[in-house]
Amino acid sequence: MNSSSLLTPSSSPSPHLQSPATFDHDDFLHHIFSSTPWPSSVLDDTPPPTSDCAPVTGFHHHDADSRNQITMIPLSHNHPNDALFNGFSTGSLPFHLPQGSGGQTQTQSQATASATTGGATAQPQTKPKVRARRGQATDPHSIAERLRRERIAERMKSLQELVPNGNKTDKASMLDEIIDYVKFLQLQVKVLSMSRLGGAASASSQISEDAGGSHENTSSSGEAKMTEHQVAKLMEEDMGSAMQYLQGKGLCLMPISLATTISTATCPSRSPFVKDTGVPLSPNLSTTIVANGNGSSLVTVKDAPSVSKP
Amino acid sequence: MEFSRDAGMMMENKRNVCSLGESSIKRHKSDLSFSSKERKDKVGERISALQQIVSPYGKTDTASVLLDAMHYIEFLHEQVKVLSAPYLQTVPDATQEELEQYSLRNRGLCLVPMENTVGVAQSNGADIWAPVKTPLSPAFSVTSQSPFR
Repeated sequence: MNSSSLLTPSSSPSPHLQSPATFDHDDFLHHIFSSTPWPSSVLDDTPPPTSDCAPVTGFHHHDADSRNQITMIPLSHNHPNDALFNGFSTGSLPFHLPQGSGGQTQTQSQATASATTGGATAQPQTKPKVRARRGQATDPHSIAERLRRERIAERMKSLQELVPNGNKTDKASMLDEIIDYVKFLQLQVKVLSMSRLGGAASASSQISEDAGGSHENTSSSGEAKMTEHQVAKLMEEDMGSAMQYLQGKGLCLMPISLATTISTATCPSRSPFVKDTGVPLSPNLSTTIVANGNGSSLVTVKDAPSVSKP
Repeated sequence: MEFSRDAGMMMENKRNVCSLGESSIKRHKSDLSFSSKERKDKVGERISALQQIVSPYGKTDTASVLLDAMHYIEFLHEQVKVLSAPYLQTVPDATQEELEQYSLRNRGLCLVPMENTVGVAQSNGADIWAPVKTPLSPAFSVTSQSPFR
């Protein structure tokens, strides 16, 4: 009844006053009704509305509404106080958030400051390095050292051209190749020199070979023939290339006369070297041909091809 | 308080990063010095070895050793050319085949593995040629061969 009586006076003054304003007020009242603390306030305020309803004038009604609001607020001190505290607490969060953001900005500023300080520390470190690297020193000691390095580099390049496997870039490996090649060349020269020393014995070697003419000629492998062909061709063109080729193959150039002498010297005593003696048998025949050629007799030269043909 | 603590942590992290950078730089420098020292020692040893082969009584600085090596290699090439010339000159013109023209055996030369050649080069040439001069008497040759071996 009380609630219905309250509703009716609100509806009655609406035609008297402006309808939209009253509608807005009604909406506001509805929102207030929807809030939780309102029912408790309604229960507490049950006797005052009846006394207010006695004067039916609109003006009084407005005053009554305002009075109700004013009275409601102090009556519900606890609830509005809680609401206010809640509002402050909720408000404090955004207040703290900007404080937090302020802190972040401070940390960022500190980060930038430290970055700038780091940059400042880095700059003096890089500056002397740049100077040391880029600057062309002009003192005589530095110039002399530079010339020495350039001279060594030029000579190292020249040696690379003379040495097989000259494509290595490591200085230590390059020197190893040079050392091995020099040793190989020394060995080659010594072997050829030994044959020169034995030149006087060519006649005796011919005699021994004539006695050994009955030996069968063993055919060498095609690969060996190709290697010999390549070496002979290179020796005609460039001795340096031929020597590099031989070192790469692990072979050494030796006169057949020297090889024959070595095989005959070792043949009678050591049987394990029979296999080795078998290898230079074919050189015997070629040596015979060459010996005939060395005889400087045209007739013998003609005989040599006839012998080789069959 | 929480934000101030976070700021402190950030500062500590940055300091750690800086220290790591410094340690890495130090390691890099130490590696360079170590490797450069090793390289210098290796190169120095090889230069000494090359000098012993090329010019035992010559100058010892790197540039001089390299120059002597160049000259010595060219000299050895010339030596091989001169020593092999007698064999190369005896080219049989009668044969027209290119393969035979470039064959070593027609010229009195053959290829021997370096392993078998080292022993020959180390020995005295006279010992090898001596037995050939006395093939007439087998008994004498046998007796003569025994003292050489």
